Amino acid sequence: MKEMKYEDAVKKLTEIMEKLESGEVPLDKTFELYEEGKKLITFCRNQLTEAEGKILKISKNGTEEIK
Amino acid sequence: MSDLFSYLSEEPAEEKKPKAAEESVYSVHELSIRIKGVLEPEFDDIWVEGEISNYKRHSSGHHYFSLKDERAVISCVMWRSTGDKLDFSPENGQKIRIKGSVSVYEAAGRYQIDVKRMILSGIGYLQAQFEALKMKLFEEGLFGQAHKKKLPLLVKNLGVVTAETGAAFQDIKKVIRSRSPFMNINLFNARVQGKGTETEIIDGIRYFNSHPELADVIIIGRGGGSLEDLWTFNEESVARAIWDSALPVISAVGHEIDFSISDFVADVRAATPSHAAELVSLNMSEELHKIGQYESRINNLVVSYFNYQKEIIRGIENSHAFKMPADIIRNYTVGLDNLEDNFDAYFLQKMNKENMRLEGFDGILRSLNPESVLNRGYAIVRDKKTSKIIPDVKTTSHGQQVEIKFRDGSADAEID
Repeated sequence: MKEMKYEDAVKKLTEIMEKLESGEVPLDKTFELYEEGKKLITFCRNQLTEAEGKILKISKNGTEEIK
Repeated sequence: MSDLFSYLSEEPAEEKKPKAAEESVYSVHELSIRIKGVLEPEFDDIWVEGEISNYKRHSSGHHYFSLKDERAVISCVMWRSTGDKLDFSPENGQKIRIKGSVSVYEAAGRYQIDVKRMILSGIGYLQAQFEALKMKLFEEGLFGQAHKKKLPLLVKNLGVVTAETGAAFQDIKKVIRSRSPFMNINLFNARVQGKGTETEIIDGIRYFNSHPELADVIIIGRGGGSLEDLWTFNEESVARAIWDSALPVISAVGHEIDFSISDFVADVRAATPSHAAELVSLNMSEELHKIGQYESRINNLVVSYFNYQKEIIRGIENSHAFKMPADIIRNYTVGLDNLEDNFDAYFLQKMNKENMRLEGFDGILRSLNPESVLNRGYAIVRDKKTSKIIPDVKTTSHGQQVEIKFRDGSADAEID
């Protein structure tokens, strides 16, 4: 899950919704999809909120964090 | 009377002009030849820069014009053979550089420059360079759409190659901070104006390519300025470095109206540095809202699917086909209620706590499946014509053709 790209997660989510909407998924598969969807949603949320961005300056004198 | 004119004799004697006869005297021709002899060897094959004025192309094909600056003018002539080789049309007001020799035309008492080469200089020169390089790189295929890399939807690490103190970096920082506060901004501090600064831009692009953990995408650029100011981004070496970059590069040079060679080679051209920052950042609050919508949609879909399954089971439970002793039906009904309770509880938990696990959930699902009800000895009654489940006695009618589905097959029957 860590290596997944954000856009891939969003794409998978969309696919899950489409499958569920089709009404053609058997019951046990429905909950499998539901579980996966929940994981993807958590992943996406974390990507957006889990860190606060930093600013690094790279120059001949080395690398330092700046405001 | 002589006193009246005495002031004349008061002129100082030493200021009296010498008599011409006492010095050597040139003829006009001699002097002209002398001047020619001084000027021509001294100013042979020299470069001069100035602005064209009084440009005329004679019917003979020769070009006559003056080269001037703010304080002086000099006549020039360019013979037809030289003029034919020019890659631009000379016009009044153009800043040019010429290579030529001063020649003195003694018969008219004039000197002029015989022009052997003429190139545009200043803005005109830069524009000509720009057009030539643009054409060259275009023909090489460096601007091809097929080679453009796509930007990732979510950028977590942004590489920026520009000057720390410039307006461009401040603008980029501001946009990123407000739209995608989670994003790391990694600045490769580079000068963006003046001779030799192209190597700093190139170093920046290469640095991020060898440290891809610091950049999902690279923005190179600077704020507005004159064509000369922006020239670093029109250098061929910068274009080649962009082309060689494995990471997507956005070029954001000057204002909307400024186009640079780097804009054409880059994967994306941004009108301004702020625009570049918008392109790489998604609006976090909008995106979170979208994810929230996905979540409720998935919840709703699964809940309605669950309710639909319950409907089917109720249909079986109330079916006319059941000729079971009352206590069996009662047991079954109790069992179904328990299942529903478990199910509802499951959803309540799920919606409140993201990572809750439910043990034995599969078993509940399987017992809810109508097929497994059949395995336990029940049957489903459907109308023969419509195939609709007959959930209760009141939906039956005398003589109605029905189909009864058992665990191992179906049988037809008629309602008595």
